[in-house]
Amino acid sequence: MTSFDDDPIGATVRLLLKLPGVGEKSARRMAYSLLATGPTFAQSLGEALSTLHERVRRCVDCGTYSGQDRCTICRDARRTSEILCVVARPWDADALERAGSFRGRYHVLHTLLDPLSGMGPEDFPIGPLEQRIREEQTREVILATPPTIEGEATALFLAESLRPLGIEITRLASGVPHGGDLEYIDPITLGRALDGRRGL
Amino acid sequence: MTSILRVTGFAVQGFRNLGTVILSPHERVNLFVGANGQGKTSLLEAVDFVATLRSFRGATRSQLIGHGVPQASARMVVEGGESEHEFRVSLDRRARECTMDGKRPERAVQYYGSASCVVFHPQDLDLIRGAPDIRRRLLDRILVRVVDGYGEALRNYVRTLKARNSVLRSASPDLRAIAAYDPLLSRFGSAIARTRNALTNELLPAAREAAQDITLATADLSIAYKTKVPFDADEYRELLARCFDQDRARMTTTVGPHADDVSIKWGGRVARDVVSQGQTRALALALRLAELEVLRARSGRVPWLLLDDISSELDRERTERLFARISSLRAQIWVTTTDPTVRSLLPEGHQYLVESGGVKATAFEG
Repeated sequence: MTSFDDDPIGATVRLLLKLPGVGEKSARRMAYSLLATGPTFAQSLGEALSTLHERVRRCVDCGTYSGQDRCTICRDARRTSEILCVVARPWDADALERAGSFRGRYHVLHTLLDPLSGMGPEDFPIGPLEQRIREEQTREVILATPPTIEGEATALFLAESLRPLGIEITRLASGVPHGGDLEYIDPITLGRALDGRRGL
Repeated sequence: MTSILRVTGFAVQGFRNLGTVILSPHERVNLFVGANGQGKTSLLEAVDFVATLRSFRGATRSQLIGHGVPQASARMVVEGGESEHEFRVSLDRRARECTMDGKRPERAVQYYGSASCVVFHPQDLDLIRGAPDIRRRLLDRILVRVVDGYGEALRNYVRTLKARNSVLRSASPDLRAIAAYDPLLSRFGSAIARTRNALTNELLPAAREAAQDITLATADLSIAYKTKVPFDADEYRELLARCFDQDRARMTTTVGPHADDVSIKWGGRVARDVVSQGQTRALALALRLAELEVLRARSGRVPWLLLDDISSELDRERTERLFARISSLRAQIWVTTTDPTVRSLLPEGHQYLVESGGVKATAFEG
């Protein structure tokens, strides 16, 4: 095993390789690019990374990552907690925000029901969500977990768990993409779009 | 218009005991001759692995990677009618990656359907005598190629089943989690059972016809899909609810397509109990020929054929009839044998010597 002093480039490459979507070649390109662009950028990047965990915390209300105790959406008085949109990851909330039409608030789970990877029903963080629904007098919960097996199971599990609270529970519709040609849509998506059809 | 699928290029390295093998197969006949243990079956297994992403010997990823190498990889070019596709597979001990024409395939059926092949191998006796999973695998192998969405449904079903079983294994199973998995399990499970049942009915006439032709017997072959799964998702969900106490006691899901079987009867009786070794081989062959026929009829493409361990002394008559049947399809065939005289049963093609994991071209002669 070579140490950082013996082989600083190799050690940097090995660290970059742990990032998602980064292969051997890209990691090498990144390391050499950091050397070629001079010390300023590498230092700024290093500082941003070394203080990331200190500066970013989880919003006390919704759990998303934020530079402050409470995230901008939870601080925004024009947004309402009457409707809560439950997502698996912070970036799912970002994607919904980009759509621009949702005026409620989010709740970020940071996990999905997946007993095979160690997240069984007994460990699932449902308490904070239940507490928030009670305290903020939420009327409707939109379950916006991803359309995968784990995402679907999580939505069904949450629906089952939140039923005693007597609130409206909805699931993000799944179906045909805008501008898509029906012929090219996979049968699972098309089947679900048919099942979830709406009256006009 | 039916097109004929042919492998026009194949390369593999790091797979089992094979060295680096690079082949430009003949469009019709490819004969691999060698002693036992030299890598003949591994070569066919590698070709079939690229096509199905599964080992026909039921091997795990680790078993497929050669000793002392970090990974195995293969590249295969398949031509059919107007189209040509390149398949690449690499596997290490943690993961498997595959691409078709340089991209990860979006739909399972695009990949499997464009790499359609049928394997005939000595372990096929287990189609008649072995455990139910071998017969289910025969159906699944066909369905991932001809039914869009089947591969996805199967994968989703297996994941849901494993998750549900893991909940059932806890001291007091969480009923909310069971209520979350049952709608998913019943949606995918009923679709799988329904599709397999329809396929079995489609295989029946082809298998019956092939069995009579090969065995020259008048006894009747019948095959039927055996399942307790209702073909309607809501009914299956209700059945899961009724079986819950039983599932909890056994700590596993008792009713589902993972527990199904194909019943095979010969002259009205369970085939495994009544047929001889030779008849068993003939019936297994009939099932494989039915697989070939259904793939051809459904996809309009003639699969290529991998025939493992063909002998001319044993069963010469049956081997001749098999070759006669498949030669009328003009399919590409890959044949392995320990016996060079098998060549006399075949039209002209390429001949290779397989030795110590290496494959080299030789003259086409016995």
